This record gives sequence, C-alpha cells and structure tokens, in this order.
Amino acid sequence: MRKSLNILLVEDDMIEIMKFNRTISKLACHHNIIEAKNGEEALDFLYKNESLPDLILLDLNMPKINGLEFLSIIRNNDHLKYIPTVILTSSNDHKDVSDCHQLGIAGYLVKPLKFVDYSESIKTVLDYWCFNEFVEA
Amino acid sequence: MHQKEQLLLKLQYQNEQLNDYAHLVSHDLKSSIRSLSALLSWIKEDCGEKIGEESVGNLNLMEEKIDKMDKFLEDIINYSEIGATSLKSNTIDLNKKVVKIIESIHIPKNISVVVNGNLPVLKADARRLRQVFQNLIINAVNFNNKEVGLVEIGVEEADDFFTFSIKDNGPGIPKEYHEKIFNTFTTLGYQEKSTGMGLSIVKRVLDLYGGEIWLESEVSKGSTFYFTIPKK
Repeated sequence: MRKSLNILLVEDDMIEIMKFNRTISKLACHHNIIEAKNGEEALDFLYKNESLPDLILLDLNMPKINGLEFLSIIRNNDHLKYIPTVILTSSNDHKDVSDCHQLGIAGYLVKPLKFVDYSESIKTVLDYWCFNEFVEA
Repeated sequence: MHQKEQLLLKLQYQNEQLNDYAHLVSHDLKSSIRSLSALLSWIKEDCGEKIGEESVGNLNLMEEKIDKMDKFLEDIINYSEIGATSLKSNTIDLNKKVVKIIESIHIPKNISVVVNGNLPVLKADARRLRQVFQNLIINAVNFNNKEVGLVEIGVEEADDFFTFSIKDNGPGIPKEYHEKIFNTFTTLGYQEKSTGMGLSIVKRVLDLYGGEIWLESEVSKGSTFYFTIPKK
C-alpha cells in the first residue's frame, strides 16, 4: 500500500528548499514536510517530538552541525537510529560517499544540475519509500 | 638538512591547503550553479509565453553557459582530488574496463571506437585509470571531424611497462601545441564542450604512476596519443 510520508528535510539553502517543495507540489501523493535549516535544528526537532519522521533527507554542507556530524549523532542514538536517511548533496566526493555509507545511509543522491532531472530523482526516491514499512516510533 | 625538511613540510602543507581550497570553492560554486539552473528553468516554465521567443532564446544561452561552468567545476574538483587521496590498488581487467568506459560515452553514429587486440590485467586505482582512458577517448570522439570517424585503442607490452595508444582520424594537432595541450585550461577550442582540463587530469594521473604521455599527429589526418604505465 502506498502511503504518504512524514519527511524531515535538513537543508540550509533557501532555493534548494524551493526546489524540493516545487517538486513535491507536483506529485500525486501528498507528503508532510518538516524543514530544518541545519543539523542543530533537525536534532532539536527529533529530541522534542514524540512522533519521528519516516524519512530524513539530509544535505551535507551546512552551518553549525553539518550533515556528517548529524548523521553520526543519530546513528549512535538508540531512539533515532532506525530512521532511514537519504543524503541529498551536490558533492560526489569519494570520502563523503564512503564516510556516509560507513555510518549507515539509505541512499546517496548527487543532485543533478538540471531541475527536471533533480525532480525526477526526488520523485523516484519518494515513490520507493512510499511502499516501505517503518519501525514505529 | 633540518631547514630543508622544515621547508619541505611547509610546502607540503601549503600545497594541501591550496588543494583543499580549490576543492571547497568548487563545491560551493557547484551548489550555487544548481540554484541558478533551477531558477532559470522555472522562469522558462512559468513565463516562457509572456517574455517571448527572443528572451527564451537568451535564457537558453544562459543555460548552456551554466552547463559549461558546471563541467568546469567538476573537472577542477577531479583535478584537485588526484594525489590528495591515496591511490587504491584494484586488479583491473582492462578489456572489460575499456568496454564499460566506451559504453558510458556518448558516441555519434558516424564514429566507431574499437579495441585492437587483447588488453592486459593490471593493478591500479580503478577511478584514476578510468579518467585516463575516458578523457583520451572522449577527446578523440568529440574532436573528430570526419564523415566516418574511427578511434582505435591498442597496447604494446615491454619488459617493465605497457604502452597504450589511442588513435583517431580527427583534425590532428599542430606540432607547436604538442606540449601545451597538457597544461591546465588549455584547449584548442574546436569544441564548445571542452574545458581544457581533460589532458591535464590524464597527465597528473600518469605522473603519479611514473608513466609518460606523448603524441604523434599529422594535421587533418589524425592523432595518436601514447602513454605508458609501469608494471610495478
């Protein structure tokens, strides 16, 4: 069964957030988006809320707590470690890719240059997660 | 002696810093370019009819420039990464590897890329080796100006090293450019797509392996690039 998702988008760039929202608005399935501007805001949300998101979409380059630090914190937290996390970044840096996989991720997406291609890849990722079973928080 | 060592350490440190800097700046610029590209495509989508054909044409030109900038940054990132990370030692069957590389390149119908003979199995960093073959084959394909284009890949084995060759029947390269083309940002400019980084990346990788690269070429007949990779 396809279900709508609760997604935590951790992204500091305004236009990236606009890109994401524009993509989401054209999808058939309605998802609930929570926005966090950096790792700190995202952690704050996760610590304070009883219900956890189904999926985290995570940028790597961010001020304060960056994506890798954030990932390492949630992977070491017994309560938060089950949340699948997909990296959304413009870096295909080899070290980033391997560091993220080592910490444990559910996907690593290098944002394509063209918006149509970006939209297509976001759509594909969300389509996939729509059909997944999650650990209930 | 002590002073020399210190100087060496300092240089090494500065070099690393410079590399990191190029890397960081390129990544930042890359995300800005992604934003610009998205905003442009929205303007086209939302107001294409209102602003008229000519303006849409200008937006398309902007998009092309953005494409090129992105390619540039990608190449700078690639270049700055070479040598910054340690080389892996993968066992590579070049027969399979080269076929895969050829499949990944966009090749126009009038050009064929063939492998002559059997390529060796060798130990090298797979990503780096791919960059060498990929960039040389892409050049041979992209710059080709013949009705029936042909790119041939071959190898000769010596005691201590392999000599690979990438031969094309393209426009050829005048003698005065034979050294210059390996410098960063040098392009002979026949092609809109070229950034002038491809051959510098190739050379930098080969330098790491102690290999050499040179070419033979006759203007309007074609070029052959040769490079060596030591066996050990």
